[in-house]
Amino acid sequence: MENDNKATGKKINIKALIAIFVCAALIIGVCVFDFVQSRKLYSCNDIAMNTVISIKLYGPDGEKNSETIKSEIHDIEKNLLSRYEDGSDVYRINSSEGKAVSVSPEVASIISDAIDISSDSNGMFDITVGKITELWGFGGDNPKVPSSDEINSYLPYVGSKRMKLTGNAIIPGKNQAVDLGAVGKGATCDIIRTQLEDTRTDSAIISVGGSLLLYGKRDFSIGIVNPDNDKDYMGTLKLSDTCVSTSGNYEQCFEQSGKKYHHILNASTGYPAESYLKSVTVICESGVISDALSTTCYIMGYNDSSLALLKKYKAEAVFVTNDKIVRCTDGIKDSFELSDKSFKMS
Amino acid sequence: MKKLFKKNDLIVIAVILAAALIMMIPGVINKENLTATVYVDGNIVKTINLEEVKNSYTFSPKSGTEICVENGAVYFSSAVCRDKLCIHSGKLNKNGQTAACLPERIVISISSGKNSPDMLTY
Repeated sequence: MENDNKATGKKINIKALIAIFVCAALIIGVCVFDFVQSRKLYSCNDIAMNTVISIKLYGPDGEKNSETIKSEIHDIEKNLLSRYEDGSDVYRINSSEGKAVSVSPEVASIISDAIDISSDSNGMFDITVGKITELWGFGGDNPKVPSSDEINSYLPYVGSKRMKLTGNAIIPGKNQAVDLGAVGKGATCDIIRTQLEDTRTDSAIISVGGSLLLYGKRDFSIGIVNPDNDKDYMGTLKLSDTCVSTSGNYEQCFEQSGKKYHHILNASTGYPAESYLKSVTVICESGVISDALSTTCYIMGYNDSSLALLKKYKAEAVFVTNDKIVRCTDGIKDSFELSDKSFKMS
Repeated sequence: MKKLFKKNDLIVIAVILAAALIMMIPGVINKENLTATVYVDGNIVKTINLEEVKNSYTFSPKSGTEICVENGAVYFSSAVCRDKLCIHSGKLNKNGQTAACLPERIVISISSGKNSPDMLTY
């Protein structure tokens, strides 16, 4: 009789344990699912750097952290990167008339990276092309094709080799103006990443005018904009903890005398690059490098030189050619999925 | 051979399962909705569930700018800015799309939990 009771007791305990385990697992699972998938996401948009900023934060204090990020981006524009904001580092460089200018460590680092990539691309990418960019007026009210005389009057002065960078001190060359438009958005992603590291944000995706910071271990699905319809995407990448930048011939373009002109200048000619590409998307841990390389690879085109450059910086890329052929570098092939079947994989 | 669970045990487990499913429903439903959020100066001024729009209408988030809302889509229909790039952006009807009137500092952003990218690179 006593043994029977013991046996029954054991059975009841197992039953109760199973029931409690199942219920607890379900409740915890549902709560975690709901919490992670829904409540922890905070998203918002803003305008800065003459473009759209989109922020999605996963983790606690989303609203507070997003406000801090927005404020930081406005500060980066105002104090560091703007060409038109009196007192910004770039403004002071461009109005220094050849005298040494002390800039922030962030801007010195951006310029140092840009000088390296200029050298790697034999000057096709160069941030000292600012005076010629001004002639074209991309993104302004009156973009126009400058005369060849106008371009030739500034072209001899373009070249990072003529600029001196020692520590945080910069001396621009004669008749040079720095334009960080090709690296500024990616550089902003890098600065924001260090800021996020001081928060309890689990993961985040931040778009600074299409240059993306993917923060944390969460896998994000990134749509590469369709160059023929920039409200849609032609393929997706599954990525985490990296930066992504795209350069394409559909941004800031204008038509004159029936010909379309895009904003990506080959700094060695002063004219928009002609590389038989619609767009290049570059994936790299560094935002400033991904931004610079997307522009550089667009200018260089799809060839051994651009592939070697990507390899040097441990970057991957998706090239979209004018005849709608998509070419992925080896390291990114498995992450890319084509969604618009009018494009073809190489 | 005795059954592991009695009838009452099964009822309790069924109730908990049902409760768990009910808790999941709002999250799932919310993620399916195609939602437009309109920002002015970085602040949300309007959130619209585009799937619940029965009749098209327009509203003005800022003087001189008009936004048209339809079932499943939203777009800038009128603007005072010079280049009208916001109007040329066309209709937004997919997750991750944004359109902006930079001079007026107005952004429309589309979000949805449906199987579409978290963000676009451009």
